[in-house]
Amino acid sequence: MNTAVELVDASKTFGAVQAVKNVSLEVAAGEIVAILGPNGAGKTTAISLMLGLRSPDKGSARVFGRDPRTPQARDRIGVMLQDSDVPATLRVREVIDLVARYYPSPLPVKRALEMAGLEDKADSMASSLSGGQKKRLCFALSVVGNPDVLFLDEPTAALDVEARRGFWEQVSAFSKSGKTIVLTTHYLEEADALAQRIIVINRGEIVAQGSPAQIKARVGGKLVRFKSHTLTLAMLEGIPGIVRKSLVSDTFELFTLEPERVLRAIFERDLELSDLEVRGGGLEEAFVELTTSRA
Amino acid sequence: MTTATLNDSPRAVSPLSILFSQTRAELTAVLRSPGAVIPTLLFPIMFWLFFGLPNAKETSSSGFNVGTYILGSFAMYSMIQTVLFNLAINISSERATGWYRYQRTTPLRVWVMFGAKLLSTLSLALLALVILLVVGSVTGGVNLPALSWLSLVARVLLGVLPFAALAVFIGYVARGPNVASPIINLIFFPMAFASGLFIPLSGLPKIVQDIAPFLPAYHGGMLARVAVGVPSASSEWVHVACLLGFTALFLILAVRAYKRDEGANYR
Repeated sequence: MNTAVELVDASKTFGAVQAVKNVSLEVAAGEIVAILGPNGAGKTTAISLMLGLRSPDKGSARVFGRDPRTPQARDRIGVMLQDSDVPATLRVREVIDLVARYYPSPLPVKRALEMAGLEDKADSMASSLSGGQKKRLCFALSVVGNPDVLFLDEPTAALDVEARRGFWEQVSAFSKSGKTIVLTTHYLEEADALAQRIIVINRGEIVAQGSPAQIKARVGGKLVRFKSHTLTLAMLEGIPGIVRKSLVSDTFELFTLEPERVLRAIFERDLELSDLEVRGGGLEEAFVELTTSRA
Repeated sequence: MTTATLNDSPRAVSPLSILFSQTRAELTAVLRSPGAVIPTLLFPIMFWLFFGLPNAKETSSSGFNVGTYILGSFAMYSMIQTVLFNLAINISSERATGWYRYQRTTPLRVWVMFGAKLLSTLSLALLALVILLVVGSVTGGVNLPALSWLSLVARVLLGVLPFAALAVFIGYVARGPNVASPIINLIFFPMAFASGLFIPLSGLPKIVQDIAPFLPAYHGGMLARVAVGVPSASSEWVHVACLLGFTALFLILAVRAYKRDEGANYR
């Protein structure tokens, strides 16, 4: 396997907070990997280590086998940071043209404008762009160097649903040319739409990784919660579709991908319960589950 | 660095051509900011019209034109002001932005980034200087041979070097333009005054005359006035040496401030 990006046992601490703990990961050339986690999980720190914006306290980061701080590594990476802004008094075309000149084999500016859907904004001042357009400009900057690896840190965090889908199409189009993409997100849907592999991190540690289907099976489900005085966990054995179940005093929590089927089975058995609620698979919650279930 | 093959190096990017593009972009960005350009270009002329011109037609006891003397001093003052304010405010406001952070992830070299900021600021400062010299010579009747004008420009470029380094230092110490600007005002105006750029030192108290040689702007002012024909008691090389010494000192401070910022935000 030709490795594009790797972290080897990397750790990073800020004051008392250990943002990244002993993280090792490899991204193969041509692979699209999503780093998924709730806010504050350490995603941005992990990507900062890969980019060489931060250096690990322990362990190492490599891009195509090189220190990411070397010019040879930087020639091959494109980046979209979370809060990138651009000089307010430059035009869109001017900013893209400037950045293109940093790279050894850039795309034509026109091509980058097309890829980001900014053709009609090319002569606008950067300061006049809307939030979504600024994100698209940052995307144009990240691809104009024709990089081998594209890093996208929470690329759609501030976008509405429609803009988000449009952005996914742009990224997918770029990835078709065999590029490696590493993105961070806290939307499972986004990771699922773009990535071939998802790495879930929480509290600075990798808590799960696998294909989108595998990860969805673990974190994409629903939580069915109810109270019952008569029921026992044993009585729920044999109900299909329950991934995990727990009982704390009289409150049952069932984690499932198919809540309708589980509920039907419970009602068919005429089990006595109250305070029923079904909650969406909040990632935050699912991550806590993943973390504790590992411990 | 190993000699591992670079499987794709289609063309080498010349750092000089990037420096040129980066400088052009910096200059374009600042020229489109009226808040930066207008004071930069107007202040020196205003100072000249208010404080220089009223005395310009006099002749000093030693026989040279007072207007020439003042214009030499103001050329140095104008240069320092533009470089100090523009460069320090540019750096202090930019380093907090995502753009600064973003540029660090690109192949852009740090020295090219700084070089472009310096060159674009110097270009703007030269523009302000040329306007001042034209207005000064026309309104004040200051006539000098072409070579003297060129010599004046070259000397003030040398005289501003310590302030370019000082501006980088302030840009990295101050948190944002709202802090940088008052800091510079506090340093700049008393210093320009005590260096004899506004009023000849001979007209100032003895204590100020004693302090002046320890200020970089004093040496810059002396060099600038020599260019326009004002006799100097000391050798010019003393002033050149002092300016280079101040530049080295401020550069050390600037590099330390830069490294501390790096340590706080990028380690």
